[in-house]
Amino acid sequence: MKNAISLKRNCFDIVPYLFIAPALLVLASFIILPVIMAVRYSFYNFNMLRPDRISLIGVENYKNIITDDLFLTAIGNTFRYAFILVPIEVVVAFGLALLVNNSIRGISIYRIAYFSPMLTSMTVVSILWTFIYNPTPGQGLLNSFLANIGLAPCPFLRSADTALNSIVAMSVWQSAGNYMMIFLAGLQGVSTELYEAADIDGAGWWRKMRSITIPSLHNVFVFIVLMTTIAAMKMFTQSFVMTQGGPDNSTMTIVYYVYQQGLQFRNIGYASAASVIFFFIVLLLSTAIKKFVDSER
Amino acid sequence: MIGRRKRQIIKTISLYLVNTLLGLLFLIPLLWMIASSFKPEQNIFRDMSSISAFIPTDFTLDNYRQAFERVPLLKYIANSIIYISITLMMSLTFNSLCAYALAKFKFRGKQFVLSLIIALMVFPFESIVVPLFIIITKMNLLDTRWALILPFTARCFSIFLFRQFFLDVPDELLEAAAIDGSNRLHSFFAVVLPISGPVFATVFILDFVMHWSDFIWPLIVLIEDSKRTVQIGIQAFFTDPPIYYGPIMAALTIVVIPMIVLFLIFQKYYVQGISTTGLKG
Amino acid sequence: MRKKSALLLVLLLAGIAAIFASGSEESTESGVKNLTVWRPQNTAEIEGWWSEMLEGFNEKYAGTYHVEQVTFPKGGSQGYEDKINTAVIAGSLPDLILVDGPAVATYAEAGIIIPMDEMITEESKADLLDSTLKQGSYDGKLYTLPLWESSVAIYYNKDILAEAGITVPERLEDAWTWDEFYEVVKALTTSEHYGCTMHTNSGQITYYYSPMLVQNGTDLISADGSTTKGYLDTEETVEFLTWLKRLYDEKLVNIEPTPTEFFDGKSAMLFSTCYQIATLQSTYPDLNWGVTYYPVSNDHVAGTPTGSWTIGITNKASDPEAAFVFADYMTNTEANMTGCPASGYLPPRKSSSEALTQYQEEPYKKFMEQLAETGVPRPRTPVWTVLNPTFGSVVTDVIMGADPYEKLAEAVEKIDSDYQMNYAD
Repeated sequence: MKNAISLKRNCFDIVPYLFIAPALLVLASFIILPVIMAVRYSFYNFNMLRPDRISLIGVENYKNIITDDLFLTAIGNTFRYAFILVPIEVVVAFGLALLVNNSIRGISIYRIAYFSPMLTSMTVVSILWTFIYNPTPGQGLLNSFLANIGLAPCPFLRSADTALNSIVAMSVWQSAGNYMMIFLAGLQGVSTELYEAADIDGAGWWRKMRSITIPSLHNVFVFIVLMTTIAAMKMFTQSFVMTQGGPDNSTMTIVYYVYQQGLQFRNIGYASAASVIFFFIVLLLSTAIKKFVDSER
Repeated sequence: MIGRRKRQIIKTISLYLVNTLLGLLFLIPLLWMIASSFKPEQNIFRDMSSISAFIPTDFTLDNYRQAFERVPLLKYIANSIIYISITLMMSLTFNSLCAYALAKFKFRGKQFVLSLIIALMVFPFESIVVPLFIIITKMNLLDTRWALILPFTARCFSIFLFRQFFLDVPDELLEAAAIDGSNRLHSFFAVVLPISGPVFATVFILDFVMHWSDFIWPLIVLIEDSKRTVQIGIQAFFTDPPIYYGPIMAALTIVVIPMIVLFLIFQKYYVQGISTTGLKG
Repeated sequence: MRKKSALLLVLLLAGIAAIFASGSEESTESGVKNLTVWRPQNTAEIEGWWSEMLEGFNEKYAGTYHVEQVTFPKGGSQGYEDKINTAVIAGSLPDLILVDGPAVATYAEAGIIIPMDEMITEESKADLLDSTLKQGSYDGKLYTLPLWESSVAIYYNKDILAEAGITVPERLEDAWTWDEFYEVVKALTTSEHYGCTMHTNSGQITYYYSPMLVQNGTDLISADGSTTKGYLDTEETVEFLTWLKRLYDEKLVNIEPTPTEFFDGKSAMLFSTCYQIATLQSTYPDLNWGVTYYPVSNDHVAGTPTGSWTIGITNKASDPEAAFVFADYMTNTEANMTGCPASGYLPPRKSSSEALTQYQEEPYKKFMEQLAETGVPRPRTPVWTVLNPTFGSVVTDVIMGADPYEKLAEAVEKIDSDYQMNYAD
């Protein structure tokens, strides 16, 4: 910041604070204050419909929650979702980026085609795919197709074994195009000289991929892995619209659990404890992101 | 050299082939949605196992008529646009001012603010919906339009993007303005704003797309039907029996249109935005 | 850029204009009591009836009372109830709300709705059918009045049944047992059509099936509404779940029924409420159909679903007396005379059941018989909001293959701990 505008030194300069005040005020009241409140409520028994019964109960909520099978299931599902989704999404997005990283005529049409699901919102996509995944051939697009090629129908969202994976497939379809664009920008930033040098060495496609493309995109990869992971941890809309957390809680995620306990059953204290735990899980992951950002500086 | 040329041609052809196949695969769900929205209910089921699933057989607008009859779709769309516009008008101002100070001014606590903002960048909103709901309730803002606006009038990620841009604004420009005797707020508006079109457009489109898809928050804080956003409106429509495919497909198709229009206008900035996300973020 | 900024500016200005333009909505005439009622949106017929009734009320009481309605699309899992709860927190409840039968207890316990005993006449109270009086009461006080009543029975396609050589019970005491019902559905299933259409919409499951638990000697929850242990997690419940699951396992019932499969002949029977009669009569006049009774347990114990929307006065009503005038207007015998036929549901009063002669004839007769003889109201408990979706997901999960014992144990834990946390002394 050597170049920052020089200021009169002798008096306290209030102007910069006026510039940052509105934004900070909003962040303080709508992010930082809620965090403090969440921590505070998590030590209370507090149901919204029974404000007269509010009482301090210490770590009781935490005790109950870590022994609540449903919460553990929700954590398990959320991690499972992330671990299946992230590798597939990254590979698909990278593959697509490679496919569209050239200048053949009309390539931008393909880019938009891959990207288009991103423009429909997750809600729209979830509704549409509930129809696509309908378990009865003749009612669901995918099962009609399976029946056409002589395969047995798959229950998709209607079975605990396949519901979460079905949501993964849909989510990859929806957002791969977005990450493809990020990869594409990265690919276009790789210096062509490196490739030319490799060509002279007679390196094949795979060699170039391994020793030039992937290493140059290292940071992009790390970034996308972390972004997709965090996005996966927050999964809610798909479960809410498509399966309501079922069947057999197989799509119950942490955020869904918080929603159900806090806003459906109105147990604010209990839901706050779940939120705090969720926050710490994401914090661990975002610390990783921050490390990455710092290492880049 | 001829061999090489040949290989180039084969490569190009196979690129087209693979891209066309994959592109169709990506578009199939959307094509089915649009085609189904234009055909009678029984045709949707009848056509499902053949290629006509993607063709509007017995073309009809009846699904659209029914969709509009059952839910005020245009009202929902207007609501969403209004909320987002007001949110963005405020957030673009707040965020850019904050980012400008962080990029160009020297002040005590700046480093702290900067790290705070970077730390909050990946903060999961979902982990505070419950207390935020209580805050909004206590502010008497439940079921008001402000409940959808106020909490989003500052966004760390946007501040970050703005700051990246402002860092590159040459100081000479600002110094010239300072010599002219204009104060810093004035020089921000007079000197910096006019050259910041691209970054504003980028933040605008990124935030717009994000807020358009907002789901959990409007689901929680809105009561009245007349205030519903698009996403909540169509979700309610989807769960309100009797559930017929056609009218729902029509509603989905309509809801997608504003985003496509916006994307076509701001395509360049949107792509730029998400690209810089990866490279600078 | 200039064009785009201009476009933006126009958008923003339009937004501001809109937000402030809609700020002032209410205008009050002097001396007139304004009332607001909230209710979930319903079928076109019911919407039409409400509009007419409101118009009639506002005309009749012009200068004294004026009532406005706010309607909510049902949407989402329990969307309407969520909204009421949100309004409770926000302190923005209207004067009157529509309450689904089993939710009466939750709202009464939380003090959201107030008792009507001091306002209602003895005569009017005595005129209510037993099951509806029970539905609207909590802790010995009457909190809500019913708009109409409901029951579930089996619609059947006469042609398909004749072809299969199956005859249906014509007397209540001959109703199919669970086993007989299963055999019939099985015999009726062909590659052309399913044996029966049943509901898997989880919000409705408790309504449709909980009487079967009662038939089998158990219930969802204890009579005082405090615990599900020893009620929900019993062999009797498992028997019911196993019976239901078998219908799906053997593909006798469509797991994701379309709204019209029975009407289109793609299903031989339809397990549904009396509401379908109107649809069948108006939209499918060519379909040859009949109605038979809700199944009874294998020991021939009967029990059928009842209950529907009721109207209650909230604790925010500025003038409960005025609110009651409206509640009464919407639920008295005269209102039943138009409301029940319009909605396709059943009359909730003795007087209106007698006056509405069509309800003493087929196809409504069987529903009325069930309502009077075998109606089992859903349990009255403050944890209804947890119980209802939880039981719904137990049923759907078991149908999809989950272990019934595990799911029931899980459900008991979830419901009882909510009761312990919020309602136990």
